[in-house]
Amino acid sequence: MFETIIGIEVHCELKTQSKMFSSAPVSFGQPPNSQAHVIDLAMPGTLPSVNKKAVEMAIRVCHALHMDIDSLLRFDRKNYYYPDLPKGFQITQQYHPIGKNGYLDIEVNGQKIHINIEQLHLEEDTAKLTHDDDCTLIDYNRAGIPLIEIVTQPQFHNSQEVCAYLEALRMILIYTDVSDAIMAQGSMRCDINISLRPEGSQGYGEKVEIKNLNSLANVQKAIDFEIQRQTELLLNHCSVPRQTRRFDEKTQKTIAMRDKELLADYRYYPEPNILPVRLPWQWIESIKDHLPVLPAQRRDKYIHEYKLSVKEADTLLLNKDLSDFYDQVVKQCIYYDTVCHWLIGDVLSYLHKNHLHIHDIFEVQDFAKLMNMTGQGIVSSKQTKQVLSLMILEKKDPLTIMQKHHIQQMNDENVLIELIEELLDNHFQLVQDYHQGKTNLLGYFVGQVMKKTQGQANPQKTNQLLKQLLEKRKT
Amino acid sequence: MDERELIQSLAKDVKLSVLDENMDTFIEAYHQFLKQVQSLESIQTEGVKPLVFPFEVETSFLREDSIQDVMRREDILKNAKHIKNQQIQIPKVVE
Repeated sequence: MFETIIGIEVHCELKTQSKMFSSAPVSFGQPPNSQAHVIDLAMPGTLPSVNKKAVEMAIRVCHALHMDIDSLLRFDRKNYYYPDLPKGFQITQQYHPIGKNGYLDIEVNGQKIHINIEQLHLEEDTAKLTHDDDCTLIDYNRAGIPLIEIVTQPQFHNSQEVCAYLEALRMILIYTDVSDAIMAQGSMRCDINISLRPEGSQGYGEKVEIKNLNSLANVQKAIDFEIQRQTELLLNHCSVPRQTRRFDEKTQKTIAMRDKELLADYRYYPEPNILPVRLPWQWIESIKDHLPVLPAQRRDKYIHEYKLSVKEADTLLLNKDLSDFYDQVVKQCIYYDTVCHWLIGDVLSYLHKNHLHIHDIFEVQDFAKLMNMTGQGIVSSKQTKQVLSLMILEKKDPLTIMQKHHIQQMNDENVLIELIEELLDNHFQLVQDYHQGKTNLLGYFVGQVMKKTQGQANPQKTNQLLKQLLEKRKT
Repeated sequence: MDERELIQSLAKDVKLSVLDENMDTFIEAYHQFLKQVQSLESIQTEGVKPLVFPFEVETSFLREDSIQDVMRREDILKNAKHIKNQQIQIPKVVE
């Protein structure tokens, strides 16, 4: 009946030390109005100066999104009068964005979709306004923090595609190390342009913009609600007014903020206080050469080279620190699946529970040593768990821990045979039952040996010996 | 809108109040300004590229990303008429 067309604009705060055009600090959670500089406050006579690191970070993302990079850096003024903008204009890149014509491939329900990215530009963030009951409060800490804005072509058709794109883009921003990209904290913000048109037609319907969505869940709800709202309007032969709307968490609806026709004319013009900056091609290329391995490449390697399952690979990738750690460990350990199993299992849940990072608790070398012993069967699964806990607690390497706590696998066949024979002698009836077909009793016998040895018997070897000795008694 | 109303409206936009006794001076200045602007209209600009910078040169300077200056909060808030919770308090700007 109707086809939904959605375009996305994402704003992302860059994690530089200083601001886009001033040397004031970029830091979060500081007392209000303690992180601003005369340039951020537009004091008379001050001039902006472009942050090299912010440009480098923008170029990094441009490379990751396969964009054409403009080596002549130019800025423009977007003029509007509002208390969050001390200068009365925002410095942005309206006419010459640093990046153009890129793409990002995403996957939705097993199908690849090629998302065209129109442009990426650099700009500065505004001050933060808090609206009390009877007044508005201004905190200038955020004013001037570097932002990149990434704009797609209008080519999404539903909330699922949009969320998959946002998740993939978020991973790119994290893996290129330019931002924390946490939507709930505002370091990644998303505006959605959405319109409906009769199926098969070519033009665009009237566009509605939904601003400042702060979580993927809200993006999905806002889009689903908006599609339904616009469909109902069109079915009732009403026109969809061109509007800017916001998502209201309480009512789970989008609410009109202002009519788009009334939007201010921003009177864009080139920023006269910043001369065009020529970026050396060698520099642009060297940024590409030093680009970290991106999520898609890592995923490919995990699945095809390390033979991890799709789910395992995706779980590892969700946490960049963990994925980096994994990559380092498997340089020293060939038990790829064992390393992954322990990292995304016990270790990850411990990290979550205690709000820690992997490097807070393990050294790569120590973890690799233990994984090698686990992989080779020198320590059992139970012992691995025990050693990991003790490594965290005592901050020692696995060999020291095992020596100190007498943790080692019992591999001596003679000792194991003696133990097993004694066990089978004491369980004559169960042995009979086993021979009459109750083969699941094998697990019970293994358990008894493990109990007797306090978990130190090598389970594989015990299993194998038990089978042999039971077979012997059959005759 | 007559000239007096126009001056009052412009003053309001930039948050100034104009006293009646100064109105004639403003109107005179406004006339002078209009005359100057009108003289600009006689200049032929067709086909002329806009000039943004007096010297159309490229630079290569980018600032290193290090923290150099930060203002003291007392200074940031010094010119504020009203302060609440260490922030500048202004009349509410949303409904």
